[in-house]
Amino acid sequence: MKFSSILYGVFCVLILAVFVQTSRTGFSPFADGGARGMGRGGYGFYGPTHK
Amino acid sequence: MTAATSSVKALNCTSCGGTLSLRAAGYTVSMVCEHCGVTLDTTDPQLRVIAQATAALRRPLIPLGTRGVLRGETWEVVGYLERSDGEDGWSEYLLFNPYRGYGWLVDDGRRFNYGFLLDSLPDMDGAQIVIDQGRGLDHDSGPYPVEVKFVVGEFYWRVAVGERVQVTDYVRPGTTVSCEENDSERTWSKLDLLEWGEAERAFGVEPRRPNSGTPSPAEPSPWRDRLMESWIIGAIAAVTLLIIAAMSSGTQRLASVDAQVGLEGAPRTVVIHGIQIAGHSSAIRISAQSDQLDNDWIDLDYSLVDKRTQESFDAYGLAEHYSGSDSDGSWSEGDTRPKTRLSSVPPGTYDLVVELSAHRWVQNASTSFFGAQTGMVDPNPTLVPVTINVDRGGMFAGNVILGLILILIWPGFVLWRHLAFEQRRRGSSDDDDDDDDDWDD
Repeated sequence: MKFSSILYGVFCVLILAVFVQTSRTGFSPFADGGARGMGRGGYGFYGPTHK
Repeated sequence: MTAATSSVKALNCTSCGGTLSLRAAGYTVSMVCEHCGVTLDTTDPQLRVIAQATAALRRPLIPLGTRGVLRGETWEVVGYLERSDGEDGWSEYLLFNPYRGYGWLVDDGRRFNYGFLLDSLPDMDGAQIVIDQGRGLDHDSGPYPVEVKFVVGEFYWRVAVGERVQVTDYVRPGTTVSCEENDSERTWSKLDLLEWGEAERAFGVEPRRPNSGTPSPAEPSPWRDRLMESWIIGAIAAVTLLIIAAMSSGTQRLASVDAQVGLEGAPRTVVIHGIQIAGHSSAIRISAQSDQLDNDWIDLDYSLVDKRTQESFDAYGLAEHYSGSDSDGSWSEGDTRPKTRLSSVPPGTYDLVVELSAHRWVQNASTSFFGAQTGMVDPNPTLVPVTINVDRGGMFAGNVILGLILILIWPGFVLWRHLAFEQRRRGSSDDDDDDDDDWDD
């Protein structure tokens, strides 16, 4: 196995570990609010976007 | 092939008088003087001149007489010629070992190939040829004309500048088999691609570095192994991530409340008390449901307040539904069940404060920013029911997508490099119709 593949495997394990931790604590940078959530954006956009 | 008698024999060129070393005496048929370039007949005791020099002598990268050990065999460079197909040129070194016979070292300017004449005809298997009962070789190019452009040293045939043959190439990863034909004979030779620096180490010349030049048709992609390994690892990691996501997607209902809000009426505040988040931080999902909206919207301002610290997690939701018709027919849009996600809310006891305000959408009125369209409050508004649910847990789709993207970056990069290499490799082949599936085996 290539050394780069071993490094990639370690990288994947790290990604999975971070994913497990964020799943357990419910963290996401894509949340609408809460701790360190980016939020959905401003208020008041209403009305259809149709045409 | 064996050599019963072999010795280095000193001769003098009959044209220029220069001293020559006949290294494969007994095998060599013709010899090109390394001093003046004339071709001599070594089977003639008088060293008859076969052909006059036609080009200025050039010095081969590997000098004649150089000895080296290549793949366990000791070879001496006895001849050198340069050939061209009219577009590309390459160099061929004739190697000699008295116990092994002749071998070839072919330099395409980028990599070296090492091989021999075949002593048996290849088997034909459809469009492929098969040698040594091994894997087949696909037709790559030819027949195309090849001409000798320069020659020096000694050879087992009467080679001269201008000699022409028709060449047909068959390839598989790492191997080329060439058929060379002229009016009198047909020969088959097999060349194996050497590793980077292998020939240079054997014959003591400056090693070349792997570069991005045009690879030969037989050169396997250096990214192929990485590609296989990275996609296997990536697939395992991606599946694992999806399994973890599925296992973590469960939710727990913490609270639910039914409320009503008046259309164009005064905003209403609803408070859900005593929401318990035990154990560890977790995601909170606040979902509203108002299925009776019809060209209306409801603004939902959420504040999840920690009763102990008064820390507030704020978010916003919008329930809406619009419909109408135009020249294309009827249309409808909007989400009457918006979900708002809070990230990583610490454990504790919370109150959820929801401020609701419902509005009618009137076509042709301002529909851009902030505030109701009329600014007026209806004292007797039509009431719209809204259900608000608070759930703990669940999976953020954005986290899953981000994880998959991070996992697939490296395999994607390797695939891109592999395809770029294959494109360059195929660009060096004449036969674009070949099936290249074998190259990814």
